[in-house]
Amino acid sequence: MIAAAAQDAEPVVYVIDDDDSIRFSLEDLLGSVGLEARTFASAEAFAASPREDRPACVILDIRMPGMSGLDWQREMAAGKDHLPIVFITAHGDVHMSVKAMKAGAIEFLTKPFRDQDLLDAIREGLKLNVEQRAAHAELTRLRACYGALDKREKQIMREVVDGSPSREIATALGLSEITIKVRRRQIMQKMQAGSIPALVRMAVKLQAAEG
Amino acid sequence: MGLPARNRDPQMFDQRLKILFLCALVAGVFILDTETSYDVAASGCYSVTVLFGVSLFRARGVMILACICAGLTALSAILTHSHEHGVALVNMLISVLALATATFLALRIVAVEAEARDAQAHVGRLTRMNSLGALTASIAHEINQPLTAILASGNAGVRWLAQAPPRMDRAQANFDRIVTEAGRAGDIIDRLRRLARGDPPSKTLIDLNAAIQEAAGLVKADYDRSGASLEFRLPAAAPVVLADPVQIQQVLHNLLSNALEAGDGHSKRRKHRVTLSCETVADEAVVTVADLGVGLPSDATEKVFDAFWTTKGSGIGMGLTICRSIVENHGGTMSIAANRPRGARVMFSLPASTRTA
Ligand SMILES: Nc1ncnc2c1ncn2[C@@H]1O[C@H](COP(=O)(O)OP(=O)(O)OP(=O)(O)O)[C@@H](O)[C@H]1O
Ligand SMILES: [Mg+2]
Repeated sequence: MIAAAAQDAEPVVYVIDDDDSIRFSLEDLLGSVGLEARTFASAEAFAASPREDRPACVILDIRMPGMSGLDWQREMAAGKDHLPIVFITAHGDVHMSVKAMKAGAIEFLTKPFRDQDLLDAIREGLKLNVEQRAAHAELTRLRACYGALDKREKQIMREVVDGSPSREIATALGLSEITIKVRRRQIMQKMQAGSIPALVRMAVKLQAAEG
Repeated sequence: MGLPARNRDPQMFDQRLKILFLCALVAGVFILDTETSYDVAASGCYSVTVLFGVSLFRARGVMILACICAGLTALSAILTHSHEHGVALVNMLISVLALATATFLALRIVAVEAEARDAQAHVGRLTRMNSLGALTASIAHEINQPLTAILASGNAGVRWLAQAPPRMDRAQANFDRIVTEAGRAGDIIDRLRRLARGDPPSKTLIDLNAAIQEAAGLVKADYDRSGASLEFRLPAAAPVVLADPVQIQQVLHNLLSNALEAGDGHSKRRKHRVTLSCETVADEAVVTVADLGVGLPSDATEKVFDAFWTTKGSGIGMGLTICRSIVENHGGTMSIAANRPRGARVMFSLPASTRTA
């Protein structure tokens, strides 16, 4: 995970607020700590823009003309666009903040907020997204490896993961023990698994994703 | 204004008439009671006067009235020359009993009425407080925006300066923004204060046709979104008025928002339409915003101008209040009426200027 995080692309922060001056000042504040920002005047404009393949986090004003921040959060949670959200609002609306936090927001900040609070929330959001992306990449890789196994190999892998010794697998499948041992080595190679426990962990991950 | 002051306060007049009637009633019963023979319990009629008294007095007044009636009953008993003291006594007792029962009932009515009045006042206070809360919230929202920008820019500026070497250009941009935003916050407060004080507007010559079109442009997106259409009936020769352009925009914007909101819940088939017209009548320019919306609640044509009077869940009820105060500050008038075939029609007039814009 840590290695994956280190290799990931430069992060970006999307700022969505209908107020020009807030967009500009937040973009500049993020720039001053070396974070790149992209700004949008509405949730619709953001939804219409192409997504980049880099870790990201959204700063979203909760009450804007058109689609409200909460509507949009709901829509985003339903779709594949799973970015962490930091809400900002000029209304200290407790009811709304509870709803937003329950729906999985990273933080709910009332304007005017301390810059450190915002930066902390963004770091947390980015870290979360890096992890989400790494997990996603790992799963994609596992699926590709598993897809490269033939039918027999998949059968043998299931038995191995279940903890059956080679001799039993050979009997069960009507093959020689030597063949099973050779096939086993090929499976480990194709799955890029260093050990049996590693292979078991991969099988668990794959199964959970199918789940 | 030169009319005689008679009937000026119909409620007061009504009150006096009632008291007069009550006195006549008491006197009538007394005469009847004294004149008729003792075996007719005319004094029982006093209970009617007590019940009538409820519409005039509070609890104490009703009690005093009951005591007077009891005294008068006793007086007529003495005045009526009677040979049969027993019958007279029984009659008097019946009368006093009736009087006591009526008084008891009357006091109950008074108490219940007072309770109802209290409850109503309480509800009134609560709604007022809610609207005040909403007003405060919206003011806080307006001021929080520039404040947030100022705070973020200040922090960004400090961070740019702290870098090695310091980024003077970036810091400078932030300081510029701080100055602009502080000005914006000040403007908002200024406007609120001017509104509260009713300061004279800063007037220039305005072409009303152009002002109307500008206001319409600002709400166009909202109208498009809800599928409502805007129509104009503007004269070729645009009326010119001497007015504060920002405040006139504010009036038009409020009226256009109300007109649009009145069409909420319109079906796609029955399209919502708002007509903006403008004309010169004598030495006044008259602007009319007519819609085909839900229309006004009956008898609300004046109430809508009250502060905090609203029928909307998210409304504050300040829109029309502010509009009227602006128009009157300009020496004009504003009124609202039912539109035909449906909806509402808001009109305001401004003194037309003889000069051209
Ligand atoms: N065009 C209209 N058609 C029907 N009713 C209207 C119209 N304009 C105003 N009203 C009524 O008058 C009330 C007061 O209007 P006003 O603009 O003062 O406040 P509001 O629109 O409720 O709230 P806000 O302060 O946010 O504008 C409204 O709640 C509505 O009931
Ligand atoms: Mg309004």
